[in-house]
Amino acid sequence: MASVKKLPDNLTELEKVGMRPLLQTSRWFALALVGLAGVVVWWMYAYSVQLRGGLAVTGMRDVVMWGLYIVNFVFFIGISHAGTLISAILRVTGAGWRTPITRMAEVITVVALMIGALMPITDLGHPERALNLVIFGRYQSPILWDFLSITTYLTGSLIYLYLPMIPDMAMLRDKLPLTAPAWRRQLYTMLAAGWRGTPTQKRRLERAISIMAVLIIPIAVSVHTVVSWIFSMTVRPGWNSTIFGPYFVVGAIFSGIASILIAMVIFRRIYRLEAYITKKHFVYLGYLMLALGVIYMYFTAAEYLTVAYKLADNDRQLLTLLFTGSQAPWFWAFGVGGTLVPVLIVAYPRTRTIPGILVAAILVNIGMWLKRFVIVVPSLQVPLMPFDFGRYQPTWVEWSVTAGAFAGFILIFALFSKVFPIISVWEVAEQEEKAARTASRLVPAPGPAAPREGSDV
Amino acid sequence: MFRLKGFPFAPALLGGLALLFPMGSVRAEGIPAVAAEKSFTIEVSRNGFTVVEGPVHQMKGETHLSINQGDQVTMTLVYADTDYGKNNPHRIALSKFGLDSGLLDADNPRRTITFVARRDGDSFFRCVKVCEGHKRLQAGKLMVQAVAGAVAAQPTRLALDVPRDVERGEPAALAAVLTDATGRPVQGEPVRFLAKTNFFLEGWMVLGEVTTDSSGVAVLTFRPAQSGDVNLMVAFPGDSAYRASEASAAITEVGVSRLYRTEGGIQLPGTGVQGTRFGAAPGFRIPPFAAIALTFIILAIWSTYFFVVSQVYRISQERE
Amino acid sequence: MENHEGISRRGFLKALAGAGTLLAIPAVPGLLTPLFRRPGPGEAVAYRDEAAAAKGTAASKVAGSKLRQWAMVVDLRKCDGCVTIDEPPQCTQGCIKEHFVPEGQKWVQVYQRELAGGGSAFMPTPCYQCENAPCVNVCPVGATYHNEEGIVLINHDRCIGCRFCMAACPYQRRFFNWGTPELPPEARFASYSPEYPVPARRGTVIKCMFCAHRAAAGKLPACVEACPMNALYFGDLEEDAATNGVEVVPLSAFLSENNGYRYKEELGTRPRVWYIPGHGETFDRLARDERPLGQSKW
Repeated sequence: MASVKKLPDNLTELEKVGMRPLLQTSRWFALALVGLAGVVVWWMYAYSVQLRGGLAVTGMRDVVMWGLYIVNFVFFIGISHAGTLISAILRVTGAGWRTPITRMAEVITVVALMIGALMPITDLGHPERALNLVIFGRYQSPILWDFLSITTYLTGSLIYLYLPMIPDMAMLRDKLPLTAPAWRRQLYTMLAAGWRGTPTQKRRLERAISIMAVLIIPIAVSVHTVVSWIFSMTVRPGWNSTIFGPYFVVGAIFSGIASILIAMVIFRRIYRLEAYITKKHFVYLGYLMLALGVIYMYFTAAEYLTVAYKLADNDRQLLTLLFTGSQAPWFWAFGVGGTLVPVLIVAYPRTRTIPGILVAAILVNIGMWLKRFVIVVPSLQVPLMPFDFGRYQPTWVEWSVTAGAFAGFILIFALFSKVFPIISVWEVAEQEEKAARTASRLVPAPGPAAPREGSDV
Repeated sequence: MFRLKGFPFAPALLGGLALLFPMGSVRAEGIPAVAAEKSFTIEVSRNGFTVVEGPVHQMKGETHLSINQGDQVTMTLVYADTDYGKNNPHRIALSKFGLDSGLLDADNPRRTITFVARRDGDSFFRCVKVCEGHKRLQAGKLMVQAVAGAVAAQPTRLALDVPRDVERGEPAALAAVLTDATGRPVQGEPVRFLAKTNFFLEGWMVLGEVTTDSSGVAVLTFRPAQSGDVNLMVAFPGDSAYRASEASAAITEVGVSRLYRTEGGIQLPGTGVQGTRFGAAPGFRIPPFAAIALTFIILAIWSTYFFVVSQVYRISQERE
Repeated sequence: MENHEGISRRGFLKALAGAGTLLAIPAVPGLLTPLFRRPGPGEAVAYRDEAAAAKGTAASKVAGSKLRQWAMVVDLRKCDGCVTIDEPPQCTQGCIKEHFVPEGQKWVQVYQRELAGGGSAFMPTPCYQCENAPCVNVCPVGATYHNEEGIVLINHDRCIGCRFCMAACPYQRRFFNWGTPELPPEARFASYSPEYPVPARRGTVIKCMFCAHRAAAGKLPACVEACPMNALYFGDLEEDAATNGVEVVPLSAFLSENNGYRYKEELGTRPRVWYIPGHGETFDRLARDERPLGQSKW
């Protein structure tokens, strides 16, 4: 037990569950954090090598001039849809079961956006000139569309993450044990913004959240649409497609739900949230993932069939590469392992268990990363002039940056969960009250097992 | 006599034509040639040409007549489709010499073409009317063997008629008239049009080559794109029958409008989308209305953010 | 046979010694010789605005505010890929020499294309300077742009190195300086401008710029000068003329009469480079000639 702090007695069970991870950290968790931090340091080192040697240290060359960085960029922007979109859609549609998972989803959005936005900057030949996008930005360029929509989305997501945290911040400010460090108290006091839960404050907060929930949905859709337009505003085979906007949006939500499911499994386990994140949540989100998986398969079929039927010369080269050529393992791993198998796992009742859904979610995320790879790289390999296929072999620098990006994503997420409650305590409580009122009976309030002190692994 | 060196002759436009004109060859002059008389009688039917009289060289369905330069040729064409049942009119032309039999049919069963074969080289006689057996009537060839000094090359005169002021970029008809010493038009000869240029190199740019018609006139449509005065020249390179000649003229271009323009984008009525102009940022332009709409949307989103954050501020400012 | 600047003497001798089939090489330029002479310094390119020239500016505005609109025509009938003279493509070599092109990049690259019935044709490809240029459209910072004469240039002080332009270019005519380019010392003394991007800089995109610096000085592009076969014509759509350094042709008529086409015309990029179909037949290269392209040297 890394640190055992007595939780105050004046807390409800729910508040204890929300507060415990902030005060108690297991040795394994701490070790994991150190390990992740090590990978992040390695990422910094790899990037410093790239800064010294230029992009020559990567495997990218004149023909295949984009690689893993852009793949990661699209992937992270994709999983950023997890969150805000899901939590906003569920909030707008009034799905009460959402409350224990919205915070997680919103954090995924914010962190994935921050990591994702670093990727194109890593990819720049002159990262120190990134500000030129502001100084000399041209509205005509899809990159500027991206720049605008991602900054707008990140800002909106931060606001949307923060708003429902205000009552929880007030709870922490008021109920944090006296043994807690002073910086925590100061932080919570500041973020609580004078919240006392008066009716006026509640009304204001409710209005602000509602506005953001509605506003964030079109912004989220626009973000992945313009990310896809980076590709489809060119005449390359495989990119020159009209359905890329919706195709990418669906793929983003698909991989976003898978990311939430993985996060749910992990946090449920290590923070003992079994009482609040139940199988119902996994099954509901699993159904959502299933539906989006089927839509994604439909888009995939529409995309490739319309191209394969006409078989323009460059498209034939691309499809040969994807279906039977050197990229075929990745393509089929995505097509079968990344969409078909997870959909079947969730569809089949006997595998629709929490472990089954976790496997499906992991497969979806691996599959969607591979999908972004087979979108970006093979299209660039196709010869546009009379020459051979381009080659691309990522170097250790690119793999290190990729690993570091994932590690950084997990690290920030884990650190967040150590500073802020990972479930929205007040919303869950509100939802329980509401359920109690409507059903005139108590939904199981405490967890099935009595929480064991100081063990969160 | 026909030494072409120094003559402005650039096979720029039709490089292959250079082979037609043996340049730099020197011919003896002044030796009187013995002109022979050659007569042919040719039956013309839907089955092709049949030479019934005269030296013939028939091969694989083609009729080749071989004569010498300077020969006096009489070509008698006989309508031979009398067994066809209905009238099958033909018209035989010898385009290189600008000659034409006129209608050859049941009513005009006999036509005669008479000419002096002044120019050497191969040429064709063929039916220029769509008739039964038309394809088989495309296979007549007249081969004129060059004979040194057989023909005394006639001097020619070339005149060039051009409009004086030409709007820059607007088509202007340049007309050249080629006549022989007696003032008769020379038909079927190539006339080359040239313009003085100073484009990286100084010299004469070949604008094109036009064959003179029956009035000896060759017309070239020219869109002047230089500025100021344009010096023009027409040149007839000459051959064994006619001597070379040339003429020159100048036109003045007026108007300074920009000639080369390119269109870009789709013209949406009322949106202010204009054609592409070259400048700092051409190509795809966001039309003003779209830019305004986009700016409005972004402003609206960010003002909403501001409003939401102001709610938080007011929450924090609330007193009990 | 006079010695032309644009024709490598060594190439000529080799060609002559090589085969009697190449008689056409001396014949064609020889015929054209009397027609043209090179203007002396100062009297070059008549369209230059005299006032601007006097002020010493590089603007090549024509008198009466008319502008050059540069274009290029590649007569593939004359392009034998320099295989008949047993040399690497001389246009590429001339370009490399003129711009100290970093190793591995071929701003003017000669591709070998398959012909319908087997055999191959060569295709020199400079940057096509598209009028609807995908690269210019997508640049997020306006680092790549059309100048007033229709040449697509890159401002290497502004380029952020995102390589979106390379992804957008359907002709693969853009190159990236992945590492610090290894340049000869004399390249260091060149004063950089978008019209003459020397020395090349790390982390930026670079490409053929139609030798904008040479055109401003009244000289033909380096590749045009270097082509021993005079297959490359540099032209002006505004004056409707083009020259390969030996003859001047009326550009539009030249294209029409010789079936000029643009590569991937259906893309709508409106390139400023046209091709005249052929496979080097002017110099008696047979379509099924199997001699490979020479290796370029940097």
